Amino acid sequence: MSKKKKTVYLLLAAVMVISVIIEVLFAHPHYHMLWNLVPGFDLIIGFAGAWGLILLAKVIMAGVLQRDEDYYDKNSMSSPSGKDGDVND
Amino acid sequence: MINSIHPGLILILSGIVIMLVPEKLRKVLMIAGPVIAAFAAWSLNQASCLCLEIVPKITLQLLHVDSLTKMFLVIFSAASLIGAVYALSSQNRFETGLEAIYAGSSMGAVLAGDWITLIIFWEIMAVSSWLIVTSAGTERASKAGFRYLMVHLLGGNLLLAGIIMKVAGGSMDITCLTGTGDAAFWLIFLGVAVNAAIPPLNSWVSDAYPEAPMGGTVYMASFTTKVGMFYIIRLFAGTEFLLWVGVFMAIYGASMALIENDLRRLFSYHIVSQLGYIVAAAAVGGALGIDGAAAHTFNNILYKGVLFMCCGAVITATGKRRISDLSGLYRKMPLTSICFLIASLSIAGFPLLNGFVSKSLIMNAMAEGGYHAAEILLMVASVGTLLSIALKVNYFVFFGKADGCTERNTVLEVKPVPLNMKIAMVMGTAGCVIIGVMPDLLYGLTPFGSDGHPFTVDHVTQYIELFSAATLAFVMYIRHMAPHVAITLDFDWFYRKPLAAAVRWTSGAVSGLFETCGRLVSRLVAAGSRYLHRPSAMLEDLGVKIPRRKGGIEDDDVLMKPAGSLVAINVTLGIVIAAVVLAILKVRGAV
Repeated sequence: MSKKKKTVYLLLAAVMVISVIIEVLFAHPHYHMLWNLVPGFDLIIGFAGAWGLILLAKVIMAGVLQRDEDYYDKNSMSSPSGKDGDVND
Repeated sequence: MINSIHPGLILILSGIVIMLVPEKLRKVLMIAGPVIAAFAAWSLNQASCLCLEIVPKITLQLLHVDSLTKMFLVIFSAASLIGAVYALSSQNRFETGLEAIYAGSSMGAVLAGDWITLIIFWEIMAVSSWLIVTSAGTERASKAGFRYLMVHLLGGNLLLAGIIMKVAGGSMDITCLTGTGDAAFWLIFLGVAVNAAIPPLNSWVSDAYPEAPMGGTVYMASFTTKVGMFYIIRLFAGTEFLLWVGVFMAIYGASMALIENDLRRLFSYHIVSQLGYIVAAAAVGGALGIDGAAAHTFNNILYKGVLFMCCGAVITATGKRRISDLSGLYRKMPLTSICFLIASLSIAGFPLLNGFVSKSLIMNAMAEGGYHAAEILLMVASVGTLLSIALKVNYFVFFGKADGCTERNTVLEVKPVPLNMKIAMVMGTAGCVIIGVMPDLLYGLTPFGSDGHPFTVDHVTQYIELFSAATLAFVMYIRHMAPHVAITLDFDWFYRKPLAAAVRWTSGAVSGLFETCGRLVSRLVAAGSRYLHRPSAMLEDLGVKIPRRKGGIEDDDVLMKPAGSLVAINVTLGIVIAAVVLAILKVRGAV
């Protein structure tokens, strides 16, 4: 693991711990669902949600929906455009 | 009856003049138009009236002002001013004039008091925005503009059909349709759904916005979908099935943005995602839901405008529109990078920025209404927004180093960004921060004046925990987060592939049918011509042998054709006369 990545992990861990401590000490939830009452539950939603979305988008949706950039130009009568992604295409 | 000035008409008029005058005066008018319109909008109140009797018994109410309208007018005025500052460096007088007309027609649509006024401004909005897209002058823009126009004409016609049913039923005034559920409800809903980018009618956003000129995209991101949101709130607030439509939009937009490589397409998906929050909040209804939806629309115009402005600045400076072609721009474009960072954190809902303030209202509306599953899913959508804009774009485009996919960036040339673009970006970013720090400014404008209590410890720690955990996931999977050089299929696939193929097939079949008919007719004519030329050929073809005398009259081309024709006419006439006589005799016999 690179040193930079390690520093980011440590910083994130510090933010998470401080946030949970503040929640335990000072929070007075207005609503009484699990994620309102259990300190740090939002960490689980945040991580699981991010993991699930990355899986959904990067594995499932990318696999099913992504095509070559000239996909729509293949059957076109005109010459394919936009192949190198420049605005001057 | 007239007692007020219509801000939309001021902008439309200024747009027409902008197209005609020289450059210096054009620039003055581009700023003066929105400023005067803003004053006119601010001076409106519930007693304001501008009525025109077009035919007896049909009066257009051009000004219908309530607290929701007023809130939209404030942000529309601000957006048209910021958009005008951003577009000042544009040399295209046609485009800049159209932008003012488009902004004015959006105000007109919001201010409409009756259905007919609404459809008039709605259609002006569709046509002017289509012309803005095509004014980019590229082949891609013209094709995307055509698809944009087709989708919006479909939406406009559905809306018109619903409006005709309403007007025929005797109700001229625009009223809330929630709970009616009749044919007019569904037609008007589908018409509004096109502008509101509700799937599967959403793909025009990611198709057309990336192809419009830079300034045009900023305008378009601020108006069409937001007028759609205004009518979702005004006509359909409290329509429960829209809650799940909104939640789907929020997750779907964020997920599509996660895999998108084109910057402006990515932001277009975030429009859909943010509209999802607004639709869901409007569906919950009540004071909190309506205020949440209106406040989030207000904020969305601000931070989305900044995101598109920064994106336009990047494309203007580098000529590149794909994330995979960009990296480390912070060193070369620090102001744009900072504005982008702030706007991207705003859209995710980071505390002390405006997105957080309106999301608090929406989440409170969900919690109070008991829609806990929707609440969780909207939190996940916020995480998706953070991943796909605040982390992905900031890392791969602005603050991260070249990371495998961006080697080409080392030779990237960065041209200076015009000053007016920078000023516009700072104006929008300042709006995000001011509302984020002083949320009462926004809450005071909402229709019911609800307070989201955003700065309670549980609210703030909730978002910090959500975002720090999501950042952890991003860092862990950073290798998978780099975008690929590819396009992502959306619902527009249905009309760009199968429908286009069906149209091609149908036109091929029709032209084939005509061709076959033409061939048959020409064969018949050829055969007929032969028989007319020489009637005896008919007998020959039937196998009867006719002795032919050499040098006889039948070989004379000049005489035989008219002679044959005369024979044919006489035979035909004989058959017709015989048929008529027989018919008469039959009728008489029957009598």
